[in-house]
Amino acid sequence: MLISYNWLREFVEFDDSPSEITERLTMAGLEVESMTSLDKGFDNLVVAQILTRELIPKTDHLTLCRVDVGREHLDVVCGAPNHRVGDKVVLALPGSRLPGGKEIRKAKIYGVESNGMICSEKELGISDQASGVMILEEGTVPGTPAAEALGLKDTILELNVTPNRPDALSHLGVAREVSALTGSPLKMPIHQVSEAGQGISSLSSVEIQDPSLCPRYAGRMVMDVTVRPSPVWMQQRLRAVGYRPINNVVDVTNYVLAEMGHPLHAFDFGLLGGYRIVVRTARDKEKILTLDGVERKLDPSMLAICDADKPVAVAGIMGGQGTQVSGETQRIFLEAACFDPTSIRRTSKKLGLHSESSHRFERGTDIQGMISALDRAAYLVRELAGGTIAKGRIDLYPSKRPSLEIPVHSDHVRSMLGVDVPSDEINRIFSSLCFEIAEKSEDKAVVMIPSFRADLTREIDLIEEVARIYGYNRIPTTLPQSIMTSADMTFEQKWRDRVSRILVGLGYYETIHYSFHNPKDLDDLGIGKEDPLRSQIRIRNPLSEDQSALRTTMIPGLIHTLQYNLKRSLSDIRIFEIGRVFEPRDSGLPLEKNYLAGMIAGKDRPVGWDVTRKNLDFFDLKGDLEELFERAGIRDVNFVPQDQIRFLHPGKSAWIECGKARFGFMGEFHPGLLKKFELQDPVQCFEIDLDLCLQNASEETTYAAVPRFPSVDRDIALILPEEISAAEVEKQIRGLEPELIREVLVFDLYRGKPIPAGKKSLAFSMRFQAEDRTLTDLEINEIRDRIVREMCRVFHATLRE
Amino acid sequence: MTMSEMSDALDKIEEQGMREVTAASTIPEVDSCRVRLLGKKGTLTALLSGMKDLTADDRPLAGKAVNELKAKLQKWIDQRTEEISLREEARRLQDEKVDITLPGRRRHAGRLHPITQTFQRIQEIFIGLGFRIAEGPEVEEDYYNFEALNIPRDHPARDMQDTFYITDDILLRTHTSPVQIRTMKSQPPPIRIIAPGKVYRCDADISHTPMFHQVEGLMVDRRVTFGDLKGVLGFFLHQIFGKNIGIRFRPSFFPFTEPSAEVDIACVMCKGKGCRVCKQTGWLEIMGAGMVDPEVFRMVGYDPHEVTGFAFGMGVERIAMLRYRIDDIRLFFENDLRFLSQF
Repeated sequence: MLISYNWLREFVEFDDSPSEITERLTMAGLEVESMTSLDKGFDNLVVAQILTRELIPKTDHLTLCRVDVGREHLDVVCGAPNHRVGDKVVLALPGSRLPGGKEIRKAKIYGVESNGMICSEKELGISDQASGVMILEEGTVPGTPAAEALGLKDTILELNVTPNRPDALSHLGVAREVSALTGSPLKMPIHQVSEAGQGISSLSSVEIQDPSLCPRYAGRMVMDVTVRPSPVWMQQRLRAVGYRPINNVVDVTNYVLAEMGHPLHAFDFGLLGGYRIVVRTARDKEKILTLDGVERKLDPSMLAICDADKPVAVAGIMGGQGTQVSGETQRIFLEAACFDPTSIRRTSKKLGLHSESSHRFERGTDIQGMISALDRAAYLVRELAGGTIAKGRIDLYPSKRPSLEIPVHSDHVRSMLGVDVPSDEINRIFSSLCFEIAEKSEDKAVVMIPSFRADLTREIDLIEEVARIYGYNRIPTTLPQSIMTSADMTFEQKWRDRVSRILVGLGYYETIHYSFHNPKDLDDLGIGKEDPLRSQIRIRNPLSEDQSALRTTMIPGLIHTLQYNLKRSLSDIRIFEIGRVFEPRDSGLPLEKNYLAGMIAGKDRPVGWDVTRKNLDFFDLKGDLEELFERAGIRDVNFVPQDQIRFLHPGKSAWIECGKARFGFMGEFHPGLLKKFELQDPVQCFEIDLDLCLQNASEETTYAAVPRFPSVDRDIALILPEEISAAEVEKQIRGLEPELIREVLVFDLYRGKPIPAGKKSLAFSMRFQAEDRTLTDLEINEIRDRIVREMCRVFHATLRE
Repeated sequence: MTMSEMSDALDKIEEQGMREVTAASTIPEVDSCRVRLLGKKGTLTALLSGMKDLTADDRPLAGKAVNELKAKLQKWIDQRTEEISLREEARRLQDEKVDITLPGRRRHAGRLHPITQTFQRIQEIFIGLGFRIAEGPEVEEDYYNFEALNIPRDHPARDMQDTFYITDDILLRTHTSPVQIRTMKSQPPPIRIIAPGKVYRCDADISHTPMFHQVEGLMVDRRVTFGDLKGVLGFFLHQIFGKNIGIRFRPSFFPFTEPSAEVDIACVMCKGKGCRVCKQTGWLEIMGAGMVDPEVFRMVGYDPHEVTGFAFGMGVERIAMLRYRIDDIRLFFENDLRFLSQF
């Protein structure tokens, strides 16, 4: 909301500069977001009076004007058609820079020297009016700085008013706050009206059909008005705080809104059917053309202001064009009312129509203060548009709201704030905020809540008021006195942290992606229509289709990041993400699962001066995962061949399992997918359900004795049929002598001559060790021979000599 | 052989030994020198066979002289060997010299995302103050996200947060405050938790992303005051931004706290002088906070006469941006490795 510094000072006297008052308001909870000087760009702009004007020969519209700028007379060339001798205009002297940025210099035009430029409203940044220069009011004195003459010696404060403070949505409301902060008294704007002629009740009537939606409705009438543009001062003020001047009557309603915070509406009384007002809910499919030129379809949930036949305004939101005040209007009906905030909010949302008026009504308005706003408007209409104010006002207020009285206990203030605010000071704070105190004692004050502070309903609300005005920064800083409680992270939290740290140690960069993506991302991965990954939760109001489905897998996000980085010539990539995926359930909230996914591509090590690099492949990723599992306490992990995940290479991918639990997959992207994503080199990826994986994590490490007797290594190379897997052979070897065989490592794989086709050579290195003795060569050779014999028998292997 | 002939012979051998040992320049040459002088067939050994011709009186004298010479020669040989091996080692070291300015063979570690690092820093500080880490669902019920936090439907306070909805009653949480409600509903006071996590708002422009991260906190106990809120948050901010950072608390509004406060720190960019980042105010909004509204206590079944508490919340991106002087929030989610590798 915009507040004019000068306007504010009409209601409360204070010496603070704009930036000082900004600071005070901000520290009291009315945050000032920005300050703007209105006279920016008005240096060297002065009021000038036209003394003579002559058409310059050989031109059809340029005139040479001699103007009086107070201390001297100057010649200026002007192209505008609308000024006359004697008019007061705004002259931009050479050296000035207009609000729009245009620089003015001395110039020769058609051989005539011009000492500046006479400005239009548009050039001054005041309005869009550019068809002629701006003509000032007659009383303006030549030589006066233009900013002063136009009321621009002002600063506009932009306030961010929180939803609980509708009372501060006006100059008077902010002035009340300033008065509380400075101690200067508040001055009310003039709202005493002089009435004449007929009484309003003989001219019109009002009926409220649903008092729960409209607890109070008041009206006044002004007869024989002359509707015309408002005077410059009012137009300027309205523009400065964000309203577009329309005519003197409409401008008055907006002016009073900005001034006192209560929305008002003026009807052309002559156009009101039956010359009366009915406040009722709309009938189904009833229509109204609102002032913004849009036809609105109403429904019975919406409150409408109607005449005898039809809606003439959407209550509290916007008036209708049918009864708007125009040049022909002679009699006006001024409305001030109070509406149910929830109803206004719902209607405003439903119609998609938000206005200054609805903004205030949905936050709550002052049910008492509306009467002085109505009177103030009638007073101003008569001042600006003439006419007479009909006697009396209509005021329907079926069930009066009692004023609330709330006791505030000093010890509650102390226990909430942690500071002892003396009861005198508490009372002084309340009085400064215009709260009356019904009853006071040493330990308690009973506060009468004024009607403009509907947000105050409980003791705590008043304690906040005390804290606010007392000053948060005066409350001493303390540390809580509290019973000690355990504060360790849970095992799960620590474990997830550990997983990240291990991956970082292995060279992986952590990434974070949005939890939502385009459902089409799954098409790109070739995910089948029936795949569980397809049951995605959809966002009802996504920002775009790209962010419309909650993820069921993290692979698409990582692919995106991979592509993003490859496009920027970063080629060796190891990335991972830990986050949640979302699985719908039959009822209630979805299942949120903690997932870990990662991707690697490019070379296995950085470029170096004597480094041989190779492409990262399946076994680089598998090795990383083996290391991860071991260090994260996941034992006995198995990698099992898979061919169901279609985006993976069927021969270079695996399920990751532990016992009976299948908790993830890993593998190389299918070549078809690489092509689709325009990726050159192989990419490896994995995804793990961390929650499932964690169930297999052991929290403790148990020490195993360091062997005391020496170990002995023996190597064998076996020629095996292709289909026999390394893991099978290894398992078989270990099974033969589980006590003595400590390690079995594959150290070579070879195909080709002299190994026959369809066979491969696998070389194993075995480590033997006993816990209780040193093994002899004889013993070991015997075991080795037995292993070779068994492997030959079980796998049809032969020993490679 | 007479004693004097013996003496002459010894002198000759000594002279020959001196010459040859000095002339030897490699270990094998010294070795052959040793063989020639002291070996089984060496000159000195040969001389010993002439001892039998000497008188019984001379024999011990000659024996002594031979042994002395033998020791002397051995010493020269050892010295020479030592000299040569030192020289050879020096030469070898010279040959093995590398250009140590060549870069090392690195094994790059990765990095944690700056958001995670900031989370960890925040968590460390609060764990140190006795706060636990609580978690809750990202897809949340309207009840926990709004209603229980004293934000009824049709309340203008709902406009403060643009919400992604799944259904009428289910939404993406707009803050991690629902975790506070869930925690209070599941356990009696005292409570000290922080709730870190992802939150969502349907808002995207240069300074907003539809998903971001928050840490919210809650402390509930007997006799917790606004002064305590200031104390705890002040301590936290001093830990994060340094002991000398200016802090101010100013009144604000949140439906679930009262009194409510915005917490500002002196602008870290301009040190409070006023710049583009702080919009010339010299201050940066860094946290929202307040005393838990009695209404919220009532909703979770706590007695507001028995306990008081404070709650606070902060945007992790904002803190990370100020810590690392990052000027565009979108960088956090682009995952450009040239960005991620800087932290």
